[in-house]
Amino acid sequence: MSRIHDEFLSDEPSRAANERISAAVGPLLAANRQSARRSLLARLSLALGSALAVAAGILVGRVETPRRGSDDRLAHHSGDDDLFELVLLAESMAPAELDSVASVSTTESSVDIELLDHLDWLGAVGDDEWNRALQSQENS
Amino acid sequence: MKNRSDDELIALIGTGSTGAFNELFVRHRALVFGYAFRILGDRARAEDVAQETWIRLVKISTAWTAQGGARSWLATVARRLAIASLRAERRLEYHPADELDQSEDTSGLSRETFEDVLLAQESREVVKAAIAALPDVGRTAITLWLTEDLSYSDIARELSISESAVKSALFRAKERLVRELSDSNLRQGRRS
Repeated sequence: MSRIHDEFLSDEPSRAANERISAAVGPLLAANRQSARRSLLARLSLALGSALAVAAGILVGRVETPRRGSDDRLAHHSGDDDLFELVLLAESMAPAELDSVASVSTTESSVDIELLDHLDWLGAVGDDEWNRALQSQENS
Repeated sequence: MKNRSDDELIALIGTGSTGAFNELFVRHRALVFGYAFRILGDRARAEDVAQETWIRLVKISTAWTAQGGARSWLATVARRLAIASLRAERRLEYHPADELDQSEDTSGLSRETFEDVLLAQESREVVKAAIAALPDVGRTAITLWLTEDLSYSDIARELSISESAVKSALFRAKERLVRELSDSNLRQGRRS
């Protein structure tokens, strides 16, 4: 675009318009969130195979597990190595990679993520905690 | 979020991140709305176009593949929706009688020279108001010509009008803008 672009093109929409747009995209983002979660669970379940079937069962809510310290875990994962990092990381990995690694490292935080631990954590958290994790990530 | 690239934010939007959407929205909302507003000349309709543009971005986010092209993508979608809106209201009809005899844009102002005329104007709002006051076809044609580096034939294709109609519309629009901005400069000169 030409040099004149920003000079004469940009205009701030009204606050009411901003709010209307946020309200309009809210349900679409929620749908994306659900879809991403289902996709991650499906991929993890498929990739990790029978050895992690229990964990996958936890993820889809078919296996009851003690909720061990989930609040602490949420606090621990409220930084860079948070839920979305894990989602993006897991989705970017080939099934073989997921199968072969027990721990991986995020490029941004260099904090090791123990995959099995995450699986357990993901499976243990309920919707409220999931949403809190999202909120924490958004506020970071 | 502020350190993330547009592409990273869109990937996060694909996973449902409201924070990523808000960051991208803050970065580009003025572009999306402003572009639609320049073309449509109407705030309410431009807000509708902006809303639809952002909805489309969220919908496509799960399949986003563009590398570094978010800004361009948003501008293109906003432009096309705005033009479609004008076309739906038959505001882009251009009658042969409106065309000039000249087969070329003979205003004598190149894009660079014309940009200089606009940039010389102290108040950006005066320029925006002058562009907004142009007729629909002229306003749209000059917005595309100035901001997108589109050729006459490209603009003609976008607006579904003839190339000579584009040249004619641009000629009239530039002539009117230069006249109004010169008058404005004179008025500013008298005040200072």
